[in-house]
Amino acid sequence: VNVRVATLSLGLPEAKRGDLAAFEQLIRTHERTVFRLAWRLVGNPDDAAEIAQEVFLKLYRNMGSVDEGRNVGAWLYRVTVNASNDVLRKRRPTAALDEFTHVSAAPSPEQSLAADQRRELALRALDMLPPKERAAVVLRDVEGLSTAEVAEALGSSEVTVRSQISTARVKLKRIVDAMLARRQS
Amino acid sequence: MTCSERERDLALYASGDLFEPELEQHVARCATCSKYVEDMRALLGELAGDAAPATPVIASVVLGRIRRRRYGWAAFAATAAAASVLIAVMVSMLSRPVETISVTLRAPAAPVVTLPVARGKAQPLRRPRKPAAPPAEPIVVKLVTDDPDVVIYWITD
Repeated sequence: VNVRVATLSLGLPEAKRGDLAAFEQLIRTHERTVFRLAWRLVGNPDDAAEIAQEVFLKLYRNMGSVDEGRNVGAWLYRVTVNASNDVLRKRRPTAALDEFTHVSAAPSPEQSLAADQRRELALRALDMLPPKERAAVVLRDVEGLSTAEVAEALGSSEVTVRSQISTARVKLKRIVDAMLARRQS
Repeated sequence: MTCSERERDLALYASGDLFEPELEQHVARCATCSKYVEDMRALLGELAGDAAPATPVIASVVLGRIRRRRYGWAAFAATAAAASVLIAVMVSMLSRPVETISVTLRAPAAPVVTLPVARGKAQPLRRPRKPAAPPAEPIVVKLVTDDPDVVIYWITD
């Protein structure tokens, strides 16, 4: 058991024995990450907060089946991604991805934009990705997980995750370039 | 393979997820690919610097819901236990063998009927006139229990 896993799973054995204070500590260790991931996946803070609550209630109900020797964070990531996908499935698609991905890459004038505008474009582009690609790129590029950790969280192979990440990044760049081109025209 | 066909490799190369000496040499020579990698790194930088809104209150809400569920079950269990005890006591009392009860029944005396005696000419026997009904006397049932202090009277018309 490495130090990181031990730290992220701190309080799990006690929580399994019914210690609510230990479970609270476990929530506080992970709540920001779970909320941020859900927020990036579903795109609004209200849904993200609700998803985060449901994820921790699910953890409480299923603590017995969570392996203490493994990172509880991976379990939380997986459940958060699934819960977020459930929310997304119930929604209507909000933007047409094809409109942007088929535009040929324009010379990028990103440097002429202010940092907050560039970030806003990147986040809007992120919201247009298909759920699986969005989950992979959020875990890898926003949360900073390794490819192996992303694969564990998504229940996929590393090869699949690398493919999803590379595809998602190319799409993101095309969408951002197309948005910038529209702004300038 | 053209530069545009290597976009996916460049997307991984930009973050260090893919390292191929051949690709690295190409990027060093090709202005288009070099710019692509540079822009991709900038884009990934924007994503990594993504500032989420302040985390809302999650722990206390979750713990509140757990406690309500826990105590809800505890209250239900306590009520069920109390009800079980009450039912058990009642069944026990009802199934106890009834102790000796003596009953004294006092009924009203039967009305006296006088028949007329025939003298001389026989007269047709006539049904005696029905006497007026005596005032109804209630039936009293006295239940005596083993407890001398407890006597049950059942009075009925």
